[in-house]
Amino acid sequence: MRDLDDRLRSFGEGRTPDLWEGIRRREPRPEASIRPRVPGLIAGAVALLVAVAGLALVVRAFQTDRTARPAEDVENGAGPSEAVVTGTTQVAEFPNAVAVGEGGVWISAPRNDGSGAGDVVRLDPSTGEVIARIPVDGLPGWETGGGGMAVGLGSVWVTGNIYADRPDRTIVSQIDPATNEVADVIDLGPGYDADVAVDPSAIWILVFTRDHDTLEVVRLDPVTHEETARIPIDGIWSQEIFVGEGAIWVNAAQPHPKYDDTVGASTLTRIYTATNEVTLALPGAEFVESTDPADGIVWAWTHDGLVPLDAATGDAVGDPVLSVRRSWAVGLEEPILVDGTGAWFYGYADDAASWVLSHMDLETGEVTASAELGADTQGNRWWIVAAAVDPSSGVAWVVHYRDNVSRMEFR
Amino acid sequence: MGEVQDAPADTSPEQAIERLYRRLGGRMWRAVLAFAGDPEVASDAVAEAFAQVLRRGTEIRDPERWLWRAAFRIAAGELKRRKREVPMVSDDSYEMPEGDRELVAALSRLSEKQRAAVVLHHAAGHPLREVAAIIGSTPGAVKVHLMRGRRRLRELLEENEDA
Repeated sequence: MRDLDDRLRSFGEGRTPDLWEGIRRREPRPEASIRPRVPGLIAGAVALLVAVAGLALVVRAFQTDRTARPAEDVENGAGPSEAVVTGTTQVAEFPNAVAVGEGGVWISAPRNDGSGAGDVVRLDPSTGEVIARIPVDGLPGWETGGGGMAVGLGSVWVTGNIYADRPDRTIVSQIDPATNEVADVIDLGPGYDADVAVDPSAIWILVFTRDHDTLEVVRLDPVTHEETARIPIDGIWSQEIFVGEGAIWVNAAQPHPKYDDTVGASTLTRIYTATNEVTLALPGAEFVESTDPADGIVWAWTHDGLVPLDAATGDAVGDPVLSVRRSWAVGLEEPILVDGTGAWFYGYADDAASWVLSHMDLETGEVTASAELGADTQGNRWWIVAAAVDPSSGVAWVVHYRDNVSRMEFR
Repeated sequence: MGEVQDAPADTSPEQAIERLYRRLGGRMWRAVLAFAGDPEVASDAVAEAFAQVLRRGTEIRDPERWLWRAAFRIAAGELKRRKREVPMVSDDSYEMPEGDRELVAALSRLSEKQRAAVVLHHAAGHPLREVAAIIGSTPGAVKVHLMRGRRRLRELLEENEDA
């Protein structure tokens, strides 16, 4: 037998095709990912993840099948006129986050044994049936409020911590929807996870640094998963990072002006993805996800209400659609999404005696549909952990504190 | 490293990347072929990696390392997909010499990390540290992959000769 080294070396020097002309003409895969694409998904269908803890919310873009609401309604700008809970699924004790897309509803179910590990539970978006339980080494650490899960680049991304090691470490797990297996685990080193967002240029992870009172955004290459930047954020607390208008947006709470043991108002912070620089910080504002392409506009929830902003300057480009005072009066307390049909709010309605999810017409400010968010298996309606809404289908998923997830249809 | 960013002012980004392709592309394709065992997978992975660099331009700080890592990850993803969907079938459109075919068949029986380490180090000529960066490992772990991979590869090739 020829020497092994010689054989390997000579193999490396053999004949090769010239691919250059094909490379020049080739359209790179839009997801910029090695993950195989899942057949049957509707490309470009966008939705959101809403994390709810009291009034803390996280919104996410996601892809999903349109199962409930006719697509033409969304395209014509018609909002839903009724909402019903269509089913409830028991998933695990104390689930704490949800994301929707790539043909699944993905629920974080920590093992609660002190390790940080647990399962990501996959539900069928049409029926709510449990399809798979995927063990991961670290899940989001929030007890309520969601955050830490996102769908994008053909994968599900889950942040978490490993507490078995010292110091505690943050990891990001990549789940392949085609196999329901963990495809990669990226170790971000010492620190604590806060949230994750994905755009075609990168995976963005919001982390607390090791001392747990400063924030950083970690940027990972979407193909190789190498860390390419760490961007410090001015703030002491956050569980909300978003993508939009060529930028990354973080709702970063500042120190409270009077009390050391609580946090103050949020500053909306923008990072340009092209430069990794923080280029805007708007005190007293929070980012609101929008799936309605509006050139250069982002929506913010401010002291004045729901306000459209120039994405480049941060200046208001229109009047507040709903004042904060009126929002409380009509039970629309926290906007979670603006889409082609209006705005979606989480809130509390006196006559419902429960938390509700509502849709509002942006022109009239009137509520077009509203529904109670269901209850856990013990009948408790007050502990809502997180929720996800897909405006293209009008289906919402609400995670209850104790153990279950409700599916709601807005029609 | 730096070939795209450091290109002369009169060189377009595309020309700089083409130069990188002319220097690296063949060796990379052969290495991915040895790793994946399929010319179609090798061509797709290398072409996709370079197409991504063309689109992303100077956003990638170290294009050479990035390309190696991306090509291997893309190929690994495709192999996983094929394993799920169809049995691995070699593409007869690329005529591989018999000795090379044996070598690739033996490589395919190593673990993914062992195969990548052996191919990148022995066929593509990368030092251990670079192999570690490309496959997302440590130089120490790469040494172990190499030692075990080479031993297993030798056994497989000897079995083949005896048969």
